[in-house]
Amino acid sequence: MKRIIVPIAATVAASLLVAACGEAPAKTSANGSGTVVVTVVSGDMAAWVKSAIPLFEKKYPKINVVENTETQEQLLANATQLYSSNDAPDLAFLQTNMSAYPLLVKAGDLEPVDDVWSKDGLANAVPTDVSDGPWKQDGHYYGVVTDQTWAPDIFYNKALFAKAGISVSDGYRPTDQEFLGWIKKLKAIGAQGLAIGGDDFTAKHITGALTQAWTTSSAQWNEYVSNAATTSNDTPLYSKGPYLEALQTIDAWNKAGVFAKGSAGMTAAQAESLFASGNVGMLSDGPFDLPAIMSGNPPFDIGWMMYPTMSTGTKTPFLTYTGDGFAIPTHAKNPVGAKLLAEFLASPQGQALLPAAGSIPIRSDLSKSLESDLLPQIQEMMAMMPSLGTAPIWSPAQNVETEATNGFGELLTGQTTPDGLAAAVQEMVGSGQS
Amino acid sequence: MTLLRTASATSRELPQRRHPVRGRHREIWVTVVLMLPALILAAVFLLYPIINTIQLSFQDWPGLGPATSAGFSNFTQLVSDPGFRTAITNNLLFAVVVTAGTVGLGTVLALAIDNRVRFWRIYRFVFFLPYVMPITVVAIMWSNALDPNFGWVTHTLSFIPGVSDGLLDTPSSAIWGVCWVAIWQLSGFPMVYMVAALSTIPPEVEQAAQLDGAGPVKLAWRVSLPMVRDTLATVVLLQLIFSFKVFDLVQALTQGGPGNSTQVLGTLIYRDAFINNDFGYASAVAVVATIIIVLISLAYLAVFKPGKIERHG
Repeated sequence: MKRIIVPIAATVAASLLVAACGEAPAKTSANGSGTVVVTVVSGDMAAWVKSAIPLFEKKYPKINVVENTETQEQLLANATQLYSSNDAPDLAFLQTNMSAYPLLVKAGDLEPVDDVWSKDGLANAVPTDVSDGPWKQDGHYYGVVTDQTWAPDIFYNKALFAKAGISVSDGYRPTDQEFLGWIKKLKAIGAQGLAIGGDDFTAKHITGALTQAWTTSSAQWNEYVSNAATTSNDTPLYSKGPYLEALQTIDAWNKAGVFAKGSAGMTAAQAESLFASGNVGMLSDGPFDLPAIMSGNPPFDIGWMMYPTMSTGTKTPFLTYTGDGFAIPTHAKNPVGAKLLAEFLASPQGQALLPAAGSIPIRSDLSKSLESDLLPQIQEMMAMMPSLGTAPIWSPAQNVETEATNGFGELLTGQTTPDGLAAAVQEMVGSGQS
Repeated sequence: MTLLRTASATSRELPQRRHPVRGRHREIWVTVVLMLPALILAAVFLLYPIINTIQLSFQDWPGLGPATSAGFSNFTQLVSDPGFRTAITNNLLFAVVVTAGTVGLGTVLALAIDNRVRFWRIYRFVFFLPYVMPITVVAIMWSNALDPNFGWVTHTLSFIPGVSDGLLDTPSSAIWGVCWVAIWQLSGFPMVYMVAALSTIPPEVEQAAQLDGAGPVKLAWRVSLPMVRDTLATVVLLQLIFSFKVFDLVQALTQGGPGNSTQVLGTLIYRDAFINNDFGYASAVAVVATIIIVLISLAYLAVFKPGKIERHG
């Protein structure tokens, strides 16, 4: 018996000793000194924060920043629980369209950061629809916007287009008929039409873009953007009108062979690989994924164009997204240090690092010369943005997005009809609001 | 005489050493004290989560803040949800096909190995290897192989109708593609069990059957398999339960898509709870899924009685 008890007791004692010697929780300090843990989504955001940390630590030598990287999927699944727990990071990456943001605000799990928006004139350096947008809840800011982007664009393979005899310049906005004509020409030379990650967020983007294309006024589009369940005259928003017409267009495009083989089950990354392989004429994506595509050195030049316009709709603009940002959980162990880091990332100095990491700054008061760090296509898009126009992106609630994404795959594979999917989404919007 | 004296002395001494009632009480106390830590752990980590999930299935809870009562609405929503019906159908199909496939293939491989066919050691290693491979590795490997544009399997088998469109990218074939990958990966598990069971059969029994003129097939069907039917029944039950609980392979391979065509209960629960933040509805799905698994397991136990086979077989 003694032979058993002694090793067990020794193990327990050793474990207790190790636990006692472990890292003690960081103490809150008035000047933010100590460690600041920041959680970032992987990709260009993580690259940007990584490049900002040395400069921040140089400015605040008593603060040490630890960067934790999570994938978008991990954050979607864990953000609500993680950021409301005692293990919350000091500075947490969030997106306004994630269900976590309003939930955390409502539960009082995020610190107000109004003073960060006042610092360095951030609120005045961003468009008013951003400063008055979803970052502001109940009259206060609970997160700090970091960058801007837009989606979807159509990237095209210039070599294949030339081979197919399609003449098009960057920034072109085709009609639906022109677009379908290109598909025939691409198929005639043995290429495929449009690659899209139909099992990913890009499915939401195409649905949004085509819905916008079928709207007849910016007011009508804003009803979709604000996710109203009904229009002013009590007409269901999703089971009729532009949304249904968008689904009918997707269905018609599918029947016309627009989408590349396997699009229904593809992720965005798989669609990018397929496009980069050189056998597909076009890719539905956004500027945020262009650096990854270009890093693979595709053996052809890549151009870009706007989404096609429909027969009776409005001209398709850039659908802008400004929902990336950081928040400070109330359980943060170093909220002072976290606020200093948030201020730094939103400051002109922090924003100036974004282009080199492949992202687009949100501040309008930065030097134009910084844009030279962006890819030429993105620079061109930014230059043409005033003439081509902008509108806010459609960012539905998470359950509606899931239904729309699954529905896109079902539509492409004949498991549902435009009417069936539109009715299902309408029901989902209604249940979400109730 | 010495023995009798000793026995008599012992019987006289026993009542003095231990009072029967007091001794029984003490035994009960010792049992309770020894079992208490395990009971507390089971109550905290097993019973409480189960009760909590059942409670949550009658509530609406987005993951934060107080839950609100929802009555039976989660369950009524579940009945009318086509995604749930698809998940149930897929789960049943997956469980039956994968159990039959893995146990069938595993048993055939085990019989071959037991008969010491040529290179049997290599077969044993090669066929067990997929079982120890991480699910994500298997998923990446097969999703690349079955890719409609780049997949080597797709190109090799493109003469078969439907394969060229991508086995995992076509709704009508996607669930079969997932089943195939599961059979490929999991057959090593029943194989190892059956190899172990077959090795316990006395060689004389098989030799006697061979002397009576039984060929390899007849020997396997009439002699070997009946003698290991208890193991076979247990392996089938285990595979059935594993298959019903499937989540990781489907999540890594197709995430339930395209559309909802490979949605199973595990991926549906994950999606509703952690992506849509609808923990009440996800709990209702989990409760129903658990009831189904328990009912199927009980029905299987009632029909095949693996325990009885083991005791008397």
